[in-house]
Amino acid sequence: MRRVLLALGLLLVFAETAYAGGWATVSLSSTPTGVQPGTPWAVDLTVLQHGRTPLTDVQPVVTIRSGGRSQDFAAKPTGKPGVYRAEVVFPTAGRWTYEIDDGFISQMPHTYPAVRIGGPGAATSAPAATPDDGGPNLLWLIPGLVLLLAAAALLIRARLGGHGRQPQAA
Amino acid sequence: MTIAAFAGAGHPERTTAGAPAQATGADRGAEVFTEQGCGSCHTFAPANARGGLGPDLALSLHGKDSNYVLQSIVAPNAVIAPGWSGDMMPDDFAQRIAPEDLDPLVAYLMEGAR
Repeated sequence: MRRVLLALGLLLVFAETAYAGGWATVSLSSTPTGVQPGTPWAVDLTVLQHGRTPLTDVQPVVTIRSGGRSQDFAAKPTGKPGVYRAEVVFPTAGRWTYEIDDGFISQMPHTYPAVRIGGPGAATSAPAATPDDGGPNLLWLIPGLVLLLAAAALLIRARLGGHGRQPQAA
Repeated sequence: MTIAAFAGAGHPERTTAGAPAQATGADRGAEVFTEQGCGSCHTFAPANARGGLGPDLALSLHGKDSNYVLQSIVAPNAVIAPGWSGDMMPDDFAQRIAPEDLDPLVAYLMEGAR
């Protein structure tokens, strides 16, 4: 049992370390502010590992959402290292949110303010639907929680297995 | 504000592909924040940014003056926010960000951190 706990502890440490080391930034050539419905928003995404090194073999995706609808737009390499281009079309006017999966660490999408597409308010960003309260980013706890749950499951299983073994009659 | 002392001359990563009409003033600050990918690392509620690699800017910049905010952008390792390690943030944003975009960005951050 000690070995199992030790292994799980090490797994937690290394998983957190690996997760912390694998991150990328995404910068945009423009925002969708002022874009009209049905008109492509051609945006270049620059994906940099650790904010410095261009990532050349990833597949970034821009996801737009409004109401219950969502639509993905895959970005394609431009030929310039780390730079990918997406042609995003907001099909209708209204309030849209968008986020980007950098293709490197997909668990942490890059989020942006909501935008109002079309109409007289198109030149200004719409307020976010669920503004962050400024508290700690709990998404970082998810990998650790998953591993803790796995550890608990293993412990329960080990205990049940131990109780199931009855002493043999001589 | 002493932007000229920090800001570089060029910003080679910027492109104009499909760029819609550019905003001005405070709105431009919000756009610069998004374009530069600040939210990839920082949480900042006004930008709906949830990055967890650096400090929450609404907290770390709260009550700071414009020179401090500017320094945090162009010379991020000059002062490290308590609880965070240095050398995480690239120190070339003076080159990445156009000089005329620094003032709007600083104003936007200060407004959001008020």
